[in-house]
Amino acid sequence: MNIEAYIESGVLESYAMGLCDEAEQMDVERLCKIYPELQVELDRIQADLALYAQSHAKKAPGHIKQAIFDEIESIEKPVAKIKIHSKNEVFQEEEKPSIFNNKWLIAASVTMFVLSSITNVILYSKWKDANQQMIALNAEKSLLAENTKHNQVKMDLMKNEMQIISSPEVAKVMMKGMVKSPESMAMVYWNKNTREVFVEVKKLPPPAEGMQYQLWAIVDGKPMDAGMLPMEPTDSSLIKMKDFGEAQAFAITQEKMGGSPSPTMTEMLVMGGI
Amino acid sequence: MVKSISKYNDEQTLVLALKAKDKHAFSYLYDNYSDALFGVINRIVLSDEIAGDVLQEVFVKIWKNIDNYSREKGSIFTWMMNISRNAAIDQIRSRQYQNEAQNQSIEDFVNDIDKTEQTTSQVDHIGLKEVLTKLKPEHKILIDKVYFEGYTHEEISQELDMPLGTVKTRIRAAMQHLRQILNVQKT
Repeated sequence: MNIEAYIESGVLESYAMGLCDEAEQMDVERLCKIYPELQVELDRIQADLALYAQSHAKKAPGHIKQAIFDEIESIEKPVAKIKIHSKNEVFQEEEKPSIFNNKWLIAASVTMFVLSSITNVILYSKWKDANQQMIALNAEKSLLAENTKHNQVKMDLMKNEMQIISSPEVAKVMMKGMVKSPESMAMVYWNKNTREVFVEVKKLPPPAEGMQYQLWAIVDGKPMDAGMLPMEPTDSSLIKMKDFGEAQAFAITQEKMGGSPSPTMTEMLVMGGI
Repeated sequence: MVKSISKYNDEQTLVLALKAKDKHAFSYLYDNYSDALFGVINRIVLSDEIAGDVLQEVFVKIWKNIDNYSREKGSIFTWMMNISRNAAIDQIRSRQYQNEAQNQSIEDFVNDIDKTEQTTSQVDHIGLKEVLTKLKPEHKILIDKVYFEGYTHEEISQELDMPLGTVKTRIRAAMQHLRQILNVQKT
């Protein structure tokens, strides 16, 4: 810092004459502590001003000194009075001014407490609501996630099925309802290359008690067992069946649990030919 | 004006005694500085009666607030001088307000001060007054307006028709001039 320039700026004189604002005052005081030469210059300026002020000296009226001392005595008196009083009175005297202050303090504290309590209650209930909402949202989220996963699996299966169904090597055989159940319908998908056979139940009444559906492949006019349909529906609507060589037609009959070696013709529900 | 032989010949000792609420020290302080402070107050309020009231107020303030004084604020006189100056300026400002005399321009007010100047500076302890007649009038006016009348930078700039940016350096120049005169006087 350029001390000379700072001194030349006249800021020290302005400070000594009470012309500086608060920020400037703090600057001067701070810098004077750091740079002794500034403090020396400031001291000189103050000394010059003191001399200048003293050149205006005028005899003060004689009665003023006594008046000042009287006033100082009266300021100190209440303190002296308390000292003479008994302990109880001292307590009271000291208490009086503070009660007034305490009133406000107590009022302020109570107000603050009440306000803060109200705020707490409001915030707590808001927090509770928010918490419940969050729990509900979380549950909804995991449900959605599960559904999504479920749908994903379903979609994969459907894609798989679609591939099977749409493949040009796969023969599609529609089995239509017979007299026993005209509404029923089922599909057989038969890949001649891989020899894979799938059955898709479009509509079949639930099997009677102790009975199960069985698929038959009609090869050269003879029914061949092509496997049992599951009792319960599975996620996959395509059910893989047994391999059977060249077939001309398919049929589903209702047989006793576990299947029969030959179909019960009266219990035939659907049939279709290639 | 400062008594040469005293038990408070050291300012630090005096301040310590004052901070201990020593009334002898306070009496000594009054005896040594009241005339200088009264002169300054009178120079500002332009009335012996009002200046007496302000002087009393100032010394009571000094007694009450002596703990606030520290060496960093300058000499004890500088500190008391600032209290006096501020009390006097407050007094005339509140009086002006009460009397609704705001119509009186600062210029008129300064002229009033100048008229009474001869009567207020009657006491001349160390021949300072004579020496200070050597101070250039423009420097004297500047110092008086700032130091005694509490003009702000803006007021000085307007009243004395000088650019705001030059006020501080002009004050410095005036103070340098004052220092020269005082140095000559001391030697």
